[in-house]
Amino acid sequence: MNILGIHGGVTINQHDAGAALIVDGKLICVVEEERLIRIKTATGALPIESIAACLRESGLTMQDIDVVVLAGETYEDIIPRTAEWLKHHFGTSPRIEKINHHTAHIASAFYHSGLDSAMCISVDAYGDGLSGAIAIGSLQTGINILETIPANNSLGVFYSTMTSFLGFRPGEDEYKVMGLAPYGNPSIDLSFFCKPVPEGFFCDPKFFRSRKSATSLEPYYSKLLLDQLGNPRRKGDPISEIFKDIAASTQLTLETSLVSLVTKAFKMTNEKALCLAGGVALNCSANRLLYNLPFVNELFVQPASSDRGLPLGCALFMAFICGEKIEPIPHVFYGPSQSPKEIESAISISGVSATKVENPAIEAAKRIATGEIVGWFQGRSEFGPRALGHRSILANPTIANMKDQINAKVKFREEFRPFAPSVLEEDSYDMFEIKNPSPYMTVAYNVKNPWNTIMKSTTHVNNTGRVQTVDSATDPHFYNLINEVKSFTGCPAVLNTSFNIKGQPIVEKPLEAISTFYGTGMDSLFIGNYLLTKNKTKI
Amino acid sequence: MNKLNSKSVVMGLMTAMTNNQHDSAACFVLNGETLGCYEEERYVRYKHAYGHLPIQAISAGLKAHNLDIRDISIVAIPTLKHVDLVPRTRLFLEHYFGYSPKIYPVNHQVSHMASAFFPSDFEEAMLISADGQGDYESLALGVGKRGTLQSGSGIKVLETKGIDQSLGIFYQTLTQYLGFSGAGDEYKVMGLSAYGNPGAVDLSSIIKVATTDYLINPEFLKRDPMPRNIGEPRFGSSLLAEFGPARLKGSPLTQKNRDFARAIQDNFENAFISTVRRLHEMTGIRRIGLAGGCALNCLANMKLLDLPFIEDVFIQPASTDQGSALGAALIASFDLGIEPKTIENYYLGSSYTDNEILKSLKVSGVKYEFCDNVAFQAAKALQDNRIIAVYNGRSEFGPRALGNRSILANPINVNIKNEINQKIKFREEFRPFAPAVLGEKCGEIFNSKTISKFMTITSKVSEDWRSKIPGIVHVDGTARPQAVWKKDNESFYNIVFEFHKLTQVPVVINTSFNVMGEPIVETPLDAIKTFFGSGLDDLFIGNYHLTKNRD
Repeated sequence: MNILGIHGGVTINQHDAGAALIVDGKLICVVEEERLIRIKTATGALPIESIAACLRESGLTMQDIDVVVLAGETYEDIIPRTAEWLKHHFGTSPRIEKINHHTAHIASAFYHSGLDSAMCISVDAYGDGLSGAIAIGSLQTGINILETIPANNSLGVFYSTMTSFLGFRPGEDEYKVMGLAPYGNPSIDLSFFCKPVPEGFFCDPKFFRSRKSATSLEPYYSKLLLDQLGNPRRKGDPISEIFKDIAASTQLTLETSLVSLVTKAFKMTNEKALCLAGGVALNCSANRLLYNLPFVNELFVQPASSDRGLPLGCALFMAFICGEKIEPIPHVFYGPSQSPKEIESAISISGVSATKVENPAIEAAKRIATGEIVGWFQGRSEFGPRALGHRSILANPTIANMKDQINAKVKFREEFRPFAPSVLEEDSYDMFEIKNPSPYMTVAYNVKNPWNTIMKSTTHVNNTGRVQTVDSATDPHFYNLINEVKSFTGCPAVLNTSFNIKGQPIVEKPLEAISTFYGTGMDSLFIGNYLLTKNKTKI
Repeated sequence: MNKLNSKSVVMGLMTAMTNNQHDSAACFVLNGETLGCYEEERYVRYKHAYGHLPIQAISAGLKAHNLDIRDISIVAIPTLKHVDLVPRTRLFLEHYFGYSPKIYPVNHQVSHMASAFFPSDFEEAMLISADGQGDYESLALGVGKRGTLQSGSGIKVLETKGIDQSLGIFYQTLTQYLGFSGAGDEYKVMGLSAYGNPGAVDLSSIIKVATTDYLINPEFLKRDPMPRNIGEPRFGSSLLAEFGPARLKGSPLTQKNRDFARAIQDNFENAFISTVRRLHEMTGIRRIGLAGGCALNCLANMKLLDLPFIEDVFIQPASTDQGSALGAALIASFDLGIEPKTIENYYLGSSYTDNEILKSLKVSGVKYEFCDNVAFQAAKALQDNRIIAVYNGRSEFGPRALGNRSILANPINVNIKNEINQKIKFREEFRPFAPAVLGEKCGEIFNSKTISKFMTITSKVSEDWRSKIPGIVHVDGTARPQAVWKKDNESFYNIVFEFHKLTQVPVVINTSFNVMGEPIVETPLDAIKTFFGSGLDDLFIGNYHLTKNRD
């Protein structure tokens, strides 16, 4: 059975369009529209290019698709409208089913987790009139939604509103607030706006503006919030202590509210494994607290937990309903395949000189060890917001000023934000307070002594790192690279940040990698088996 | 309204506050003089910047003109009827800039008309604004007259048409039917139309054109439920019942598709001409200014220029909604008692100093060399059939690169179009590239009353030149030239001049410096990035030269 999950463009403010294809229970392709149309978050876009990519990857046509699934059960005209644009762009429209937004989120986490049963929580800003849901997931009975949270009580909107107040972009820059939080004291009482209560959490909607027609660039806060907290920070202004304290208080409020919600979910389900999805689940600092809760013995966070994960959740949900046996999903490398010919063609079009290397992992490791900033483009792209070794910029985390170097030459981003490490799984237990593999950078763990001082460029001010553990079975290529780095530096880790320029999506195609390489201060680029360097370029 | 004081500036904003609004921009007018116009798409790197507030555009303008937000006396927005845009604009200005000047809403179509009149050198002109829709209108006819500050007339609207008679939606919807995007692919249909047979497809069920008016049957151009997204088709079953299935994007183009494109273009032109004729009958004026998205149709513009009763045509180069921000600012200036001045050139965007260029070259770490004779080196490279990019000074306002952010190539080379398409632009082979021509040589090469400095009007290439410059002649014998004058852009003029000296051809291919789907490059790093991310051979950036060795 061929099941296509899609998301995006139903309302003009929808973001993170994408598509996922499952054939006979096997995930074939997941890709986000932003990667293909080169517009971050692809707000308002229909998932046309991502659907086309899924079809190409599988060799199927739209006529072969048995069912299209999308999230948005409360949109009355969503099915006829979708049918029309599918016909327009693909010549035909299969049967279309709509499911609830949060059901899709929960499915994306639970069916990806490999767990037999779990308490499942979706938390985001809003979708289908809800800001979250609690469910029990079971491989026998599927997903059973136990409770939903109305959209006017929204943890996601609370955090986005505070993001807007702090002069960052809501819906996108929340991670900056999270990164800023450890620099401040959580001394500001925000309980007037949001607080944990026995039923979970309570957010007072009068402190944010109605989002009905507004764009994400307009301020989210209402005047009442300014009456409470004073003037908001203007974008680009220096970040004074008070704003750091507000960031810290925002993060603490989110964390205590989430803990309250998870505690409640545990009481309802008595399950010790936790599956999380929805945009709020991107908060890797809060995830650490949930992971450390005494009654939680396993945590799976959907790597694409924001709306980027909806197409996958839709397809997985339908696959289960249809009785398909869902095959394990061991990684996130489900982007469109690139052939070596495409790489060669891109190099030839650009006209730059490239050297074929026998063993890119060894050569890259050498360069990383000596302090180079290396572009690493290998295999199929990752789905979700994190580059996990297929579209990554890599560097040596033991070099003290590496963070500043990358910020000054490549990423041009705020200095307070940390970079994340990718670490050999078997070594990670010595280096982090971690009990299970964490292959998707979804949780920030405490870094153990002395690694916190060794990995200077990937340890945040609060002594945490959003680690990716890399095992040799799942990604031998990337594993080898880190292993080689270890032999040079003694530290089994690389700094790993996404292969893109600020404000742009992660590179998808070889030519984009080449242009981004030259449009930044990266030193060398490994693209498949080819090495590009700047001083060797014959220009 | 209060008179302006000497420091106060009018800022026009296209705010694009819904995701279906596009081309957000900020324009700055001081004492009637247009200081600068900044398009958000260039900074956010997202073509047309759908749904993006002009935050970076405002910042760029304030910085470039050394202004504080409090120096702005009035913010003009080209929207009168969407009343919530006034408080929303005020709120976002306060949020990002800490202060909001007074917001002054101007009718959308009037804003377009103002952008087509005040910047021209006409004393008096017929004016037409034609687009998809704006302020619930799709067409406005009027007259502009200078020296009318006392009477307060300036621009007089004579007639408007509603959305159901929209020529923009007519063209856009049928563009979708032909399998192209409704978000700006109309120019592809225009390019394709030259390959179609006139009269082969009858569109009279959709549009009827008489001598001085047209009538659209809107039933063919809408559907139920209403599409809310630019990717959804606007048309419904009635159009399919009448004309058969729509072309699937990417499928091969048939002769029937080409004939259909021809019918769209011909009917559009005829409807446009009939409208001009009516306006001329009403006013007796022989000059005309055009703006609104429909004014991008350079082929129709040529037909207007051919009309016996038309002496001259001015097309606002930024004729889509970024230009409405300019027009609104000009109206506000007029209403404040200062008549806006002519705009000589549209190099109105940001510029970057030599130091900034050098810094970017160093960040990238690429090899470059200082070049003290860019014009000659560039011309020589062109003669050698290298495809080059030039980057200089302030960026262009509007969709056309006019020599400051341009890709240039040798039009003598028969294969050049394919080469540019395969290595850089990756676009449909049926679309022509445009020439930049030494101003004083235009008369020899083109048969036309006037040659635009801004690539807004197609012209017939004279018979004896067609075979000499095959790279820029479209299948119908036309081209969309830019007349390059020394006084407007000396460094660009010098390149074409040197190329002329080397080859006896005063023409180079000029296409915008970007890759498919991206806006024109803005910063030096954008330029370096695009140079290496495409098959360009040389980049001349300020006084620096980057080159790729081709084996």
